[in-house]
This record gives sequence, structure tokens and C-alpha cells, in this order.
Amino acid sequence: MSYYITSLLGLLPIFIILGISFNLLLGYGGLLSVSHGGFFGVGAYVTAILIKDHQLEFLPAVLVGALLAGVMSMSVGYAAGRLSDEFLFIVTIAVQVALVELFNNLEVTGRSAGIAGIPRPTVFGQQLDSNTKVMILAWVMCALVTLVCWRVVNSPYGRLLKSLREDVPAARSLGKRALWTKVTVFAFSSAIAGMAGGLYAMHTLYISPAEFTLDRTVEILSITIIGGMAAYWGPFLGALVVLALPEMLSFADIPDSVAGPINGIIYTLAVLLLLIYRPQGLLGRDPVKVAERNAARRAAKSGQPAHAGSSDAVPEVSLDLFARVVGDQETAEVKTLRSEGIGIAFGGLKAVDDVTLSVRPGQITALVGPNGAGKTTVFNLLSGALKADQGKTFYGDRDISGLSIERRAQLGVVRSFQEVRLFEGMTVQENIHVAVTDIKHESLISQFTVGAWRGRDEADGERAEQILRSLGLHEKRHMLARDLSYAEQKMLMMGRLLATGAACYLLDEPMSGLDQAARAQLSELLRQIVADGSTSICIVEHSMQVVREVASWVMFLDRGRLLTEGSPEDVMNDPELTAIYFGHPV
Amino acid sequence: MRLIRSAQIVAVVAAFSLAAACTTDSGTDDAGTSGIEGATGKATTGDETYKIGLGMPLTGAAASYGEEYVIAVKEGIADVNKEYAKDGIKLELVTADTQATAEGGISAMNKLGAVEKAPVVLTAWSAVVAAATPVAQDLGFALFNAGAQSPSLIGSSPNLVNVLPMNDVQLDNFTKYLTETKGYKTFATIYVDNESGQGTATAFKKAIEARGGKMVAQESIRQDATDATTQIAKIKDSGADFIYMQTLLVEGAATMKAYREAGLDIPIGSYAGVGESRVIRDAGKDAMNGLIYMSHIPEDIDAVNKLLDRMQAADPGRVLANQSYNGYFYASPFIYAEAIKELRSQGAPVTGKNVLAVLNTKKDINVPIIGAMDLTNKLTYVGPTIIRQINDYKANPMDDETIDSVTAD
Amino acid sequence: MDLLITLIKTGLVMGLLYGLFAYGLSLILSVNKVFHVAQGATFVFSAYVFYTLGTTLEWPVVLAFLGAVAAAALAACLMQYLIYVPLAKRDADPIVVMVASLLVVAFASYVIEFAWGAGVASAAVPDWFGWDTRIAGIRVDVYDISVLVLSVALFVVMHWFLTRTHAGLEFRAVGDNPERAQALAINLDRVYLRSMILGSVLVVPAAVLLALKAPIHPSMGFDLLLKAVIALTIGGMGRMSGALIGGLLVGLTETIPLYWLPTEWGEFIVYIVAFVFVLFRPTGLVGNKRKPRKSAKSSDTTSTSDPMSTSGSVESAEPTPVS
Repeated sequence: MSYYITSLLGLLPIFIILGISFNLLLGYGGLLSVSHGGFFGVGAYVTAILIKDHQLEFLPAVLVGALLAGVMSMSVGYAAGRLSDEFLFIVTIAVQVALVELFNNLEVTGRSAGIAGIPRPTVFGQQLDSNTKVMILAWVMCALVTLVCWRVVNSPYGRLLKSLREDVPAARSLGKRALWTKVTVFAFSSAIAGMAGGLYAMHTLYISPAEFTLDRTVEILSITIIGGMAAYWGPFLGALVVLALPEMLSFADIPDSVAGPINGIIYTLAVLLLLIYRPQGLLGRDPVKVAERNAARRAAKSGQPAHAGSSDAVPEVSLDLFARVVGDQETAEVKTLRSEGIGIAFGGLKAVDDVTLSVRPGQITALVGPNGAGKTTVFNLLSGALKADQGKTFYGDRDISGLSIERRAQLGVVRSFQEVRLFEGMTVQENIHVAVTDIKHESLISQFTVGAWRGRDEADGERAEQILRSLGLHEKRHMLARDLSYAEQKMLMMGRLLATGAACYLLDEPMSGLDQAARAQLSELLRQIVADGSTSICIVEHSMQVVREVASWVMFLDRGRLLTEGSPEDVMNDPELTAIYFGHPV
Repeated sequence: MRLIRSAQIVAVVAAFSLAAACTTDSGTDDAGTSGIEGATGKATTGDETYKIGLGMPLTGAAASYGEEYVIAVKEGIADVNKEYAKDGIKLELVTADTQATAEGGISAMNKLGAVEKAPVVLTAWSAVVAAATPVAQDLGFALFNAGAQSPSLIGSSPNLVNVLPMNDVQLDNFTKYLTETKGYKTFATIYVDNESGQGTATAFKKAIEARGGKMVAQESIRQDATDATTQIAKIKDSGADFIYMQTLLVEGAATMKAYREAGLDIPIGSYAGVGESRVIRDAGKDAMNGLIYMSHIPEDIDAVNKLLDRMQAADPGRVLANQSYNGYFYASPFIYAEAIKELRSQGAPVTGKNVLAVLNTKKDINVPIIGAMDLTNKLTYVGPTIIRQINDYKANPMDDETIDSVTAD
Repeated sequence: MDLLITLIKTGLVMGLLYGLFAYGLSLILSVNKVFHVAQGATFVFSAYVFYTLGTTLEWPVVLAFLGAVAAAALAACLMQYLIYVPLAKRDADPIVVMVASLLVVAFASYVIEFAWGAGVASAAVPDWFGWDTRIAGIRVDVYDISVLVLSVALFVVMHWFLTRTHAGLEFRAVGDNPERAQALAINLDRVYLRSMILGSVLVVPAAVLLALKAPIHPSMGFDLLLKAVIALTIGGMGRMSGALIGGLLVGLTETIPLYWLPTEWGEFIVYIVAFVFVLFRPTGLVGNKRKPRKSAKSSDTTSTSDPMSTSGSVESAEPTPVS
């Protein structure tokens, strides 16, 4: 009897590890990868082969297995970084099946027969010759994985993952390396799955391709969903449920012939129902309720009203605080963003045609023109979202024409979007915190360095709060970004850009949808930003009044060409331009 | 700098673990070859019941075959209990479902070995046997294999007893017949991509080449595959004189169907599992006529027929399918009973290890139907094998023609 | 040479079968905007229904086929109202919808295993199905001809349906711009249901042919589904011709390399080619040009004036309507 229970207890940590690693991908990263079973298998096979045929000890064997799984999955991570959800799904299915085919076809993996007679593992010279000892090893590794992943999830890297799950273009516009992060999260997650595979081989002493197929992936998926995606302890509960289910069925005296499918029916049905009625799983918490609870808690502490602000709330900017925040930014050399003859065509239509402009520092420049003129396209070209067919773009002395969005953002050129694009499922503070954090401190490895332990992240958190205070959003910092009023969201968007410490801001219709009061706030803010003479702002704007109030230089775009530029009065008093703008025939 | 720091830490950890990675002893337990333990010298008297475990597919694709073997074993146990009652020996059967898969096998072995604590467990199917041997070693029971014939199983574990002729001897005789009597020069193989298929295909190739033949095509087919047209097309293209087929049921049926549809007339041969299979014979139809197969059916055909009649009477609705194999399942309880008898005479406890010790040394075990069994060489039975030919695929396999009979050297 | 021709023929026939499967997927994708992975469940379910009606109950083949069609339609309704509609009502993430769809396939294979057993089941084959002939030395049988005739017929019929009938135009309208279609008084729910049913029913010919050709088993849903998905990816989503072309390519990729490689590597090659394809040309061979991806977030209307304003998501491709 105890052999049986030991066996079950030995499997549990393995599935918990699998669930944790999968949760990292799906729950935190929002990446649906269906190839987890395959990488589980890679680790299992490598470990088994190294221990059986090459007499390696367990630890080096499992490390190699995890490493190989991690490296192989980097290709999938690369795919994830470039593709949308449906295609990632397809790619990971292809990888899953390809891996199983590989296991089935190679001599070294024993082909369809798999590898039998795997010897018991040896750790530091001691052979673990009983099921109990192997079980203890598995639980030790499970504890380790739990700790490490806990650290990862609650670190800047974890926050970055969340932001990528929310909105990739927004994250990239802040300088975040989306592709690389996806590659690393895949590699990390698959390496852990590979480790679980090594433990699995030690437990069952026999592995075959049939154990690492899509069915296994669905099982892992179920574990994650039952426990709750992005609920850290979810996989523990999920693994327990999925493993205990067959045992409970055997007590119910169901004949063996139907026990297998009944088991499958029950847990797939359970997962389907959960997906529809309780997508946060058994342990996950409804994010809105969490945020409310937190807000209420904070409010109770500080004696403020607990309600989320009315939808008309306009944040109160504290200008001197703000000045200090802005002043704190390191002022590097003054750089000008300029383009020389850039152009791009879509299917024969020239959207932007030979545009040469510069965004001068210390000024707010406005880019105006009738609808369809190509203003946002120009922004896309300047920020790196689109690659120009002709011409070059420079920032300072540097030719940035070939650089990506995030690279340009890292250099100091950031842009905002017409649709605010906040990280809606994250709190206000987290939105800023992500932006404040330097990308160097967001890599996976840097979470385990000495600096990480010394409260570097807390320092960033402090700075985030400072920015929030100056923007009048500090009281709402634990609210979810999606629950802010429109004006507050716009302010938060600005705050996020500011937090990156950029020196050149491309703002796409920043004033749209705001009322007079909010507009005034934002305009003042913009003026403060360029006050130091080294920062530059360019806005796309439709309202002439705003342009008059805020801009000191105007560029007029029509049908993709820069017609003219000059001071607001010159441009707006030009009758030809007005005619074009209002659509009168010339 | 931080990156270098963390890289250093990683390197140290890696070095540590690699340093510990001295080659380890794979630590195989060779207790199986040791002698009988715990013998008191004073013979055990008094009636006792001994458990015998049976791991068979009771569910899943192979269930019908498993159920047939269960009948054979039950007949054997009934006869053992009659015959050995005077020695105070009674056998009790405990079954567990293996589903003919490795995972199912391990679970069944755990149940039989750890929960039921049976000293001997009888099973079949190469996947199950391969997966079960480590469990047998772990838990200390003796694993009797009465169905899987892959040569790779011979001596693969000190706890494994192969009570039926394995493919190596059969292939040796078979290839001799093919090369010398029939004069074939070039050969093709189509084999199921699992333990038994791979093991037998490799052994076949070796045996052919040892006799100067040439292997011109080797095609594998997945277990339970339903389409073999590509493999057959490639074999046809290879221009072989003879095709050897080592498959299980589903893919075997697919293979013969493809063979028939391709209108192939290359002579084809296989082993008893295929030759006697009603499913495959019906899939191949007249293409099966002329197929020759190695059979390890016990020499005493009358005794086999009597057993088959008894089994049919026990379950009139069943279509019997395992003519060559049933006898060995029937005989296994007798082997066990003989070992128990020996141990009782020495006053030794009946444990798996002790049973193995007896089988490793006792040369004169006699069981019904099979006759004399000598398991002392790697705990594997070597027996005479014959070659049979299908003349009418619709007929009862017991009526197939025996065209050659080669005794083991 | 004989071998090569046999391989090509096998590949073409299998490819047409994958194309048949992929038609339904393609239709549902363009109209309902759902990656109907659960099509695999409909497929295996209808195969087993055909088996039960035709073999166990001994109905004539045609009736059994119709029964299978009815079963597929029923399954489609159930999936639509029990899974997709509730999820849509709750504003579920597209990922969640895909996961749910995948789980339905797993669920179906377990249910079938429960009801019919885990082993293979061989449907009774009518005598006329065994007829074969030799064309240019290659064996051609009723199965091959049926697959060819059916795929061509279905392709033609679907094309006519989508371009010439009112219902078909409704499909395309909804696929192109649901809000606008609704404004034109097209009942969205009805169209969604219809396209789900039609797409699901398209899979029945493939299921029945396969059931006649070889034994069926509970997990055959997954296998064919994956190939069809690959076919759709390589061929290009959104257009019916993409399904056909993709299917043929998958079938050929699976068999032609076997002229040089051992048989077991066929599948591996297909999936590696698929991987590379998706990475470098996700829109497939005849897929439509990339359009900006409408984000699933609530407050969004990409109200840009430029058609290609991608807001940064340059690399994401979105399935586009049938054209």
C-alpha cells in the first residue's frame, strides 16, 4: 500500500513543477504554447539516456536535459515574439508533434519502444535506490522551483511579462525588448519542464513517446486552468486534482475498462466549465475584486473615500513636484530627431512622400493636416513602427533608420498612441513602475544578482510613486488602469512616457477626448517638459486652438508631403493651407 | 558587472555538479543469481495457498487476447490445484489490467507485486515486459513472460523468466530454411515500431546476413497504424525475394491489406502472432495463402488441441486466436508449482528471489503439454520450433500445414 | 519511377482529404472568427456515428452518411450554444476560446472511447467500394476517385454558394464587417450558427471516406485536425482555395520525401516545414494581405486615417474574410 502512495506522492511534485512552468507561460506571459509536453519529453529522454548509457549522476544529467529543452524552445520563443496568438498556437502544435515524431524515429531514444530499465539516480555519490528517496528528491526540486519562480514572478521581469501580456506595442514603445523577453520566458519555462522530465524518468523508470504527446500537454493545460492562471499556488491544487481524480475513481468501483475515459471526461469537462464560468480557476482571484479590495484597504488606512473616482475626474497635477521630477531626469546631450526624405508606399499609394523635418528640442512642434494626410504614418516612421522605403532618420548624429521601436525608445525617442494603450489589467503604479525600470534590470538573470537583493526594485518603486504624486494620481495608484477616468488615463500615459526618461516625445493626438480643464492641465505639463531646452515634443493635433496654445512650430502635411512649416500664425493664416485643411477646392 | 557575477555563480554550481558526476555504478542488483535464501532445511508441511499474479490487457485494444490468456491460465491453475493438492500447494490467482501498454503494465505490476505481494507475476506483450522488469527487480518478484518473444528480452533482467521460445532461435531456423531450402537471396522486412518489432527485425537482419543473404529494405510501421501502402510500395520497389513481417494485429491487418491491394506476389512470411491471427487473415484474404510462419507451438499437438477444446468449452462464444501461445500460459502455473515444491522441500520461504534461484539451477522441470523445461540458461526456455504454411486463410490455424520442423541445437 | 508515382498519388489523395477537412475550418474562421479546433471532435464523432449506423445497425451506406451529417450538424449546434456563445457573452480572451476548443477535441475522444471502446473499429465496406482499376500502372480505387470527385464538387458548390446565393453573401458580409452587416439587418446569431453548421458538415465526407477505407479509432480527430490546420496555414487562411492548395501541399510533403527517407520521417518533415512556413510567411501562399489587427480590448477603435496604421503590431497577421 505504501508503495502505491509513495508512487503517487512522487508524481505530484513533478506535475506541480510542470504546472508552475506552464503557468509562467500562459498565466503570466499570456502565451498559449501547446508544446510543453514535448519539452517535458526532451528533458526526460536526455536525462534517461545520460544516466543509462553514460552513467552520469542525476544532477548533471538533468541539467543537460533542462538546458537542451531550454535551447530548443528558443526557436518557439522566437516564433512567439513574431506571431499572433492563433499562429503561435499552430507553431507550438507543430513543434509538439515534431518532437514526438523525433522521439519515435531516433535510434538513440529507442524509437517507439522508448527507453526501459532506467537505473535509479545517483546524487553526490549516493544511489537513491527506493521510490521514497526519489520522491524526496522530487519534492526538494519542487521546492526549489517554487522559490525561484516566485522570485521571478514578483520581480521586474515578472512585471515586464505582465505588461507584454497586456499590450506588446505599448511595451515596445517604452523600450522593452518584447522578442527577447518572449524567447527567455520560453527558454526558462521549457527548461523547467525539462527538469520535470528528468524527475519523471527517474520515477517511472520507463519512458516512451506516448507519454509526451498532445494529451500530456492538455493535461498540463488542465492543471494550470483548474488551479487558476496567474494564481501562483494554482498548479499545486490543479496537480492534486488531476492526479487524485483517477484514484478517487478507483474507489468508486468503476470497471477498469471505462475508468480511463471517464477520468478524461471528468477533467476535460471540469476545465471547460471553469473556462466558461470561472476563468480565473479555483484559486485565481477576480482581478477587479482584488483591486477593489486593495483600494478599500488603502483608503481605510488613509481615511480617504474608497470609491473609484467618477469618470469625470481630472487629476490634479502638482506642478512644482512635477518640475522636480522632470528636472531629475539625466540631461544628456541635446539631440534632435530629424528625417531626411523619408517615404513609404502601400500597394502603389504613397502614404508619405519625401518628408524632411526636424523636431527641435526645447519646443513643442505640431504636425497638422487634413484627414488621410499621413500624419500617423509619419509618426510610425519616426518611431520605428514602420520601415521607410526611402530616406533616413536621425537622432542626434546617429542614423536610426534601421532601428526597431524599442531600440529607438531606449535611445530616447518614444511615442504615444491615439488609443491610449495602457496596461489595463495592471495597476496605475505598476504601469509607471514598468516604465521606470531599466531594461537591464528586467532580464531574467539580473533577478538573481546581488543588486536585485539590495532593493533596487524598491528604489524604482519609489521613483514611480514620486511621478504619480506629481501627476495627481498617487491616491489611485492601486486601481487598475482600466478603471481610471479618461483624463486620468491620458495623464497616466504621459507619466509612463516620462518615466522612461526619454528626451523626444511623439504624441499622437494627446488632447483628443479631453475637456477644457484637462486640456489645460496637459498643455501645462507639456510646456514644463520642454522647459529645460533639451527635450523635444511633437504632437499630431487636429484642434487649431490647441496648436495655437501649445505649439511654437507647426508642420503642415497633405497627401503625404510636407507642404510647409512655420510658426502657428504663419501657417494658420495662410489661405491656401486653410483651404486644403477645410477641404475647399484650391 | 552583475552579469559576470551571476555568470560566475552559475559556473561554480555547474562545476560542482559536474565534479560530482563521476561515473556511477549503474548498480544492477545481481541478487537473482544468488542461491536460495532462508532455507531452514526442514521441509514445509501443511497446506498453503500461494498467490500468482497475472498482468494482462483486460481493457483496451488487446483485451480480447488478454482475456483468452486468462482462460488458459485459469485452466492451468485448476489443474495445478488438483495435482499438487497432495503436496499441500494451492495457487490463488490475482489479476491486474495492463492494457498492453508500459504505463498500464507498471501500474499493474505495482498492484500485483506491492499490494498483493505475489511472488510470481505472469505477463506478456513486450512493452509491458520491458517496463515491468525494473519494478520486478525493485519489488523482488519473479516475472514470467509467456508471450513476448523479442530476443532483446533474453537475460535483460535477473528477475525475468522467458517461458516460451524466443525469436532468436526461431529466426535462426527460419532463416536457414529461407536461404538454404528456398534459396532466397534478397530480403525485405516490415516491422512494428516497438520493442518486439525492432528486436526481431534486428535479429532477422543479423541472421540473414550470417547466412549470406542481403537485406534490401527495412520498413517500419507504427503500432495501430491503419495504412501501409507506402511501406509496401517501397518494398515492392526494392526487388526483394522474400518479405518478413513482424507486426501486431492492427498494423498487421493494414499491411496485408496493402499487400493484397498492391497485387504483390513476393513470398511473405511472419511469426505465429500474425499467421494465426483471424483478424489479419481476414484482412489479407487470399493474399495470405502461401504465407509461411514460424511457430513455437508445443510438439504435442494433441495436447494443445485438447487444451483449446477445454478453453472453447469454458467460453463457447469466443473465437480462439492464440493457438501457439495458450499452451505456455497453461503451463506457467506448473512451473511455479514445481519451484514451490522444491522450496518447500528445503523449508525455504516462497519469495520471488527464491523462485528465480530454483529456476536458475533446476534442470529437470516437467510440465504438461510442453514437457521438459530447462530454464537454467538465462532463465529462458529453448524449444523446438516449426514452420507452418497457410493454404486456406479461412481455415482454423491448427489445420495449417507444417512444412518444416527444425529442432533447437 | 513506379514508387515515385505511387507516392505522388498517395500524397495527392491524402492532400485532398486534408483539404476537405480544412474547408470547414476555413469557412468558420472567416465568418465566426473562431479557430474551430473542435472540428476534430465533429470529425471523429461523425465517423463513429457512420460506423454505428452503417455497420452495427446495418443501414445502407447512403442513409448512414446522412445520419452522420445530421450528427455533425447537431454537434455543431451544441458547440456553438454550449461553448462559443457563453464564452463570447463573457468577453473571453481569444486564447481562452482556443483552449476551450482544444479541450472539446480531447473531451470528444474520451467520450468516444467510453462509448465505443479504445480499440479500432472497422466499418463494413460495401462491395462496390472494393472495385479498383489500374491507370498508367497505378492502382486507383473507389476511395481515390471519391476523394477527388468530392473535393472538386465541394469546392465548386461552395464557391457558387458564397458568390451567388443570398445566404452565402450574408456569410461574407458578416465575415468582413459584422457591425455593418448587423446594421443591414442581417441576423448575426443566425449567420454564425449557420456557418458553424455548414463548416462542420463539410467534414463529414472526409470522415465517411476514411471510415470506409481504414479502421477508425478515438484519437483520429487530433491527427487529421493538425494536418488540416497545417494545410490551412501553408495554403493561406480566409480563402477556400487556400484550404485546397494547402492540403495538397501537405499531402505531397508527407509522401514525396519518402522516396529517399524511411517512411517514419514523413510526419516530422511536414511539421518542420509548417514551422518554418509559419515563421516566415504566416499568411500562407494565397492568403490575403495583412490587415491591422483589431485588438480585443474593449475601448478600442483604431480610428486612424491611414489604412496601414498598425500601431506597432506590424508582424501580426489576421485572418481575413473570404474573397
